[in-house]
Amino acid sequence: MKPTVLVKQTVLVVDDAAGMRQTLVDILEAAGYSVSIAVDGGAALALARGERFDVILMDIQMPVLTGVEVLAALDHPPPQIVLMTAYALEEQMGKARDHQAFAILQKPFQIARLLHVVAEAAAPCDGNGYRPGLG
Amino acid sequence: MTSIRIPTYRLAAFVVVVVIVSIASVGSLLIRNAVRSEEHRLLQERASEIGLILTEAFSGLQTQMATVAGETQLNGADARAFMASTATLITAQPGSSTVLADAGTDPVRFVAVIGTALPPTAVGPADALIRRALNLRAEITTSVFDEGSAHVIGLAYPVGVGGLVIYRQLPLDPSAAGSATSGSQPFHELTVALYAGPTQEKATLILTTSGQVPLRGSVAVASTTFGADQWLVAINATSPLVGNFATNAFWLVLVGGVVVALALGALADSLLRRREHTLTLVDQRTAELRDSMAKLELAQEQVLRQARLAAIGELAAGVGHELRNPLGVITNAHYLLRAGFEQQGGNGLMRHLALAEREVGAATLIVGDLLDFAGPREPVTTPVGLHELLDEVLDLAAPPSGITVDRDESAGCSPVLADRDQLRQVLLNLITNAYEAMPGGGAVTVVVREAPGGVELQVTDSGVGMDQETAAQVFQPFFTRKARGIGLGLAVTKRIIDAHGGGISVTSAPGVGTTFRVDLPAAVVGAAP
Repeated sequence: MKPTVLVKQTVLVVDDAAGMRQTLVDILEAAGYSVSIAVDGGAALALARGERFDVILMDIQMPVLTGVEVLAALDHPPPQIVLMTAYALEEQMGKARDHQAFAILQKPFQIARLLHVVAEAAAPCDGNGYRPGLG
Repeated sequence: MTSIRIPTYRLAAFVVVVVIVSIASVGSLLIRNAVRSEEHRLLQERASEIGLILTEAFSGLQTQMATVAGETQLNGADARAFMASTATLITAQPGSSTVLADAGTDPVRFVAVIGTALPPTAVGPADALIRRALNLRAEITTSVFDEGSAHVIGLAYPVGVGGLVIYRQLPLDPSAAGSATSGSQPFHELTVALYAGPTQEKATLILTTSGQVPLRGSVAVASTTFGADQWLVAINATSPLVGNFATNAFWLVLVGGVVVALALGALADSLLRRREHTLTLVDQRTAELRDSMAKLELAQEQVLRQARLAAIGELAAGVGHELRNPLGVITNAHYLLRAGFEQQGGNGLMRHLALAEREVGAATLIVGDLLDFAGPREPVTTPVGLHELLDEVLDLAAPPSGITVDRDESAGCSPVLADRDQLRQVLLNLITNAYEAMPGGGAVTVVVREAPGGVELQVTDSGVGMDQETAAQVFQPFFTRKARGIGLGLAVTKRIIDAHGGGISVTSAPGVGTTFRVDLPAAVVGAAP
């Protein structure tokens, strides 16, 4: 499941917290991904519309647009979107499921699990381009 | 054994009746005694009056006898002189005899007789009477005796010359006076008996107004002097001298007292019962009021507690949320540090890193419990494999030194239908709980196996254990026996299991250890893996 060296899979990391952003970039790059960053939901939406990412790893609670709002705006996968949250509201969780988020990770998460979920999300998709999330 | 309870008001009423009846009884007794004493005093007065009247009458009789004796002496002290004076001075009565007797002879010889004829000489009591009169000077003497078939009284008075004595003998019928004192006569209310002697002897009875002698009942006696003799008059009253009203006054007081006592008793009973009823009512109302106050206080307390819990919840949610982000960054940084140390061979620092990771794990668990308690979330269920989740949990919360974890999992155990994050929270709570129950080390046994309709999970420690009372409280929020911890882990664990439609129970014995058993529903066959 490891990506090949020649064609790196791309991940967009979106989080308003600089520390989280930085560590996630380092972890994912070390795992062999090509990583871009965005500091809020608005920037993420602009980037995602202009560029193709295999996976978007995005916090829910953010300024400008929340992760769930970005998910709703980018309605058709790919890319697969993995959401992260420190403490999500019931309503946001429901909406995230309705818009077919690939997975929702609760902070803090185990890196092994993060890498597993990102790898699953980045794996080539089937015909209709969507697979159920990992929960 | 049951005892009959007499109401206080009835006892009080009874006491009132008893007291008043007692007072009435004493009063009536005093009145009766006073009335009796007055009655006796009046009777005694009457007796004395009658005695005086008799003394006067006797004095007249003595004067008559003395006059006859004087005239007889003046006119020659012979039978002719006696006959002349007697004829003018004494009225002859039927059956009576007036005699001039000579006591100078033995037996006494009757010199002259006027009235009913007598034998020529005196015999028996008459003889003795005449001889006694001779020895007296200017005094009459009497005697009552039977003369043949007749009851008679004899009177004797000395003439003062030789052995001559004036002697009168009259027939006696004591009961003949009966009608004389009845009707409107003075003393008509009295029964009288007159005795020619100092005592009430029937032989000396001269007259009586009663068929029965001696008199019975309340009797007053008075002595009266008749010449040389003492006579006795005895009386009693046919009707009370003080009057019927006075006599019966004590009954009036007694009956009146009883009636008043009963009336007052009934009144007291009624008033006291009403008072008792009122007091009972007051007590009842007071108790109700107190009850209401207590309920109000309880409600207020509950409202306060709810408000406090809500405030705690809000604070916890805020703090928890803000802590999770830095904890996430620290976790990520630890990962990178570990990778760097592994590449550079900084093994000495790995131990410190592991410690830091463990503490972050503990902090994460506490934050998770706090957030779940503050804002319980409905589980979002997917099929979850317990084996894999247990791997993750034991990786996150590795056993401290001195503690081993034995896993006993049946192969091919069905996945459970659960919220992955919440179930991880449950396992973390149960596993770290087991660690903390064994400060001196020990073994944790985790059993996962199929159970009817689901999967059974058991976490057993060989730790300090707890008694029944403690075991019954472990699922209550903020209950903790540990020096560290806020007492939410097991409360949250139970809430999550209940929300999943599962069950959790605990069995424990002090010094032996504790087992938590969790039952979870299995994922429906055919659901996504």
